[in-house]
Amino acid sequence: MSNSTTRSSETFLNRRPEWLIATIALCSWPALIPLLWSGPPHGHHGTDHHTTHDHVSHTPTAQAPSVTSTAGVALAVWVLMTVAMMLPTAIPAIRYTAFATHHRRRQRSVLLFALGFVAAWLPLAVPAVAWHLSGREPTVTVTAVTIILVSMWELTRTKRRALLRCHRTAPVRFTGRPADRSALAFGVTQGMTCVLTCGPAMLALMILNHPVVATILVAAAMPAQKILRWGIPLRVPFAAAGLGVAAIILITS
Amino acid sequence: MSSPRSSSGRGKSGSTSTTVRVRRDIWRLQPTADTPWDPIVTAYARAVAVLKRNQGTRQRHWRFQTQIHGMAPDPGDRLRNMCQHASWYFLPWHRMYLSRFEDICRSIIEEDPEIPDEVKSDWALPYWDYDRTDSNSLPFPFRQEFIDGEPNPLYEARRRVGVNDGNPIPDPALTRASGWFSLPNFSTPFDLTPSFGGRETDYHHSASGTRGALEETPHNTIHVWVGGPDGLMSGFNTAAGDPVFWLHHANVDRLWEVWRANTGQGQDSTNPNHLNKKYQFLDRSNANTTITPAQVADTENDLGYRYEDISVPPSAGAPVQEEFVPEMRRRPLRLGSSESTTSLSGGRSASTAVPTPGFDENIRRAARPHRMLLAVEHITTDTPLDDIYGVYLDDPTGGKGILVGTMSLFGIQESNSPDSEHEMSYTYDVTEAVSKLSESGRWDPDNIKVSFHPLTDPSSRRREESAHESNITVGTVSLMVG
Repeated sequence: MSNSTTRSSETFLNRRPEWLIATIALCSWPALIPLLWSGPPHGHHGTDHHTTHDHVSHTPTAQAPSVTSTAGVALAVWVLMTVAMMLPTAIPAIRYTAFATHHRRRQRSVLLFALGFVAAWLPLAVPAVAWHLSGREPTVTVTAVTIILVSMWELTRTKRRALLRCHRTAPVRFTGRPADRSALAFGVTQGMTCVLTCGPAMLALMILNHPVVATILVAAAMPAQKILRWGIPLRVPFAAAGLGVAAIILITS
Repeated sequence: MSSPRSSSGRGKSGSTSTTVRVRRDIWRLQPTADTPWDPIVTAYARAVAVLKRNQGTRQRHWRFQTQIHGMAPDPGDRLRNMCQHASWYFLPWHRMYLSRFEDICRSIIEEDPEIPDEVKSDWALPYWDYDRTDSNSLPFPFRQEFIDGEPNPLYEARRRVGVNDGNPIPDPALTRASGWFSLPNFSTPFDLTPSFGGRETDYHHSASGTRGALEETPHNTIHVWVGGPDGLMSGFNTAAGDPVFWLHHANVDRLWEVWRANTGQGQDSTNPNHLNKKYQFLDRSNANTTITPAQVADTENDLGYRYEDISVPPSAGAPVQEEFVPEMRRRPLRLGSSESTTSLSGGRSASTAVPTPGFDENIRRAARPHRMLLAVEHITTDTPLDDIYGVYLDDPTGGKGILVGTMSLFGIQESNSPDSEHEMSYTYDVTEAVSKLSESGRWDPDNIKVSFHPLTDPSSRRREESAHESNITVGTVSLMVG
């Protein structure tokens, strides 16, 4: 590679400090997709109780996965979902963190931010994993009600204010331990705000067993709302679309 | 520079006359307390009196005109609660607002049989140039509670203690032109970057983010100095309720023309996002009209007025060196920042260190030419404000620090509200201050300190004895190179 190409690449990466997180998020999808959408129809994660039971009945020597490993897989799914779908929504905050920090430790601050961000999402993993462990399949009513609730959430003042707060920054220090602590703390704050804005949609995906189209739509819609200049008003058409889908589900059931 | 009261010319959008009217300096119209009221001032007072009755169609309601600037809750009619701040729309929006208000006043004046015809034909809103020692107190017509035994429509009790008594502005830093005059760029796409007119935003009814230099000084400082902690001028939703608001904004508009005639020549925004943004106002006939910044760029041809005096203010300082006109269109690079929050309480001074590890290396990384910037971010408060602060770059040898700008925090409560998108921040161009320290051998990148000192008079603080002390928190102070 020529020197000028190297310099251009360095300049490009310096101006895009979010490149590492974006790469990690992108690389999370190949790991996430098999967990979301592989396996028999009644067990998306391959650890569904029915599937496990059938597997045991046909191969008496096979050992059923423990609840712990099932919960572990569900937790892994949740974390991967957070990294793949939610971390990209925090790119403006990641850029702020990076540019607020000494250039020699930018990615360290960025990674600490990401750690705090993902950690803030963990409490919501509890109901998500619990639903998964219950082995329940969403009925038509559960599906419709879930979509209605998520759509209505889009229109609440809480959601709107949380979206506005996503654009706020917090002090991120320049070097040393203060930089580490502040980057982590900012990640946690942003993560908690993100839970308010996107948590209901993410929970809904877990409840509905990650319909492909819905998962892709959520992965696109949430960053659009948070990053685009005209993103906040997008809540209204999203809510309308969700209510429309719920109505169709109820009418056609 | 003095001009005849009016001259021939064409007025286009928003103007109902082909005469180009002249907005005149209130202090030249009314230089002493004993001077009889100038007919222009009398006409304004009579128009305000009619508006304050809140009768007839709503464009003639004082309350409605105040609400255009700000009100809660948002009525959602795209007419009220619309003021634009911390944005490149700040100047054009207020120009639209003023021109509509002025025309509505004129419509009232035209109907008033007590007002002479020569005043009716070319009346224009006066302006208050507070940046002179002979005019840096509230103009006389606004101080008197009664005129000939009748309530004075221009008087407002809810102002800072001492303002109605004629106390002068306590520090020239609150009005000086040097902070904005030499800035060559009208707007900037980046946050934490100085500009004359403000950051490129979408519709921005908010005080959050970084504001243009003219907006902070003297616009914000005068709002807070006149209003004080609980006066009308200090709040978005009440500011336009003080009759002096309109003269204050006429002066801000005039300073825009001063800039356009000098440093800003050829620097008007050409961005369609700026020029074509639509805003709605009621005109003198109560019709809902739409105006864009493109339609108010030229005060004479578009709006039918000009200013009596657009000479360069003495406080503007030395002219910009021609060989160095920075673009200010790249993201500034941070050189270092404070390691803890700074608390300003009870009008007391405070200072913070700004460590800059690797200063020389970081400076070399920055593209040339360099402008040194000081950013003050993450500003919050839980109390109404008493004080306007000056921000100083300290002399490490212990000498007097260099004042780099003011921090009035006008709109801080709005920027801290749950509906606000960003916090309040300030950015100061400290290139000259750093140069001065360097030239005298007092610049030490390893020993940078920034101080905050109140510029307002302690005797003008809030009236109530039991009032809480103001408590301001500054999250981050950073040195940057742009």
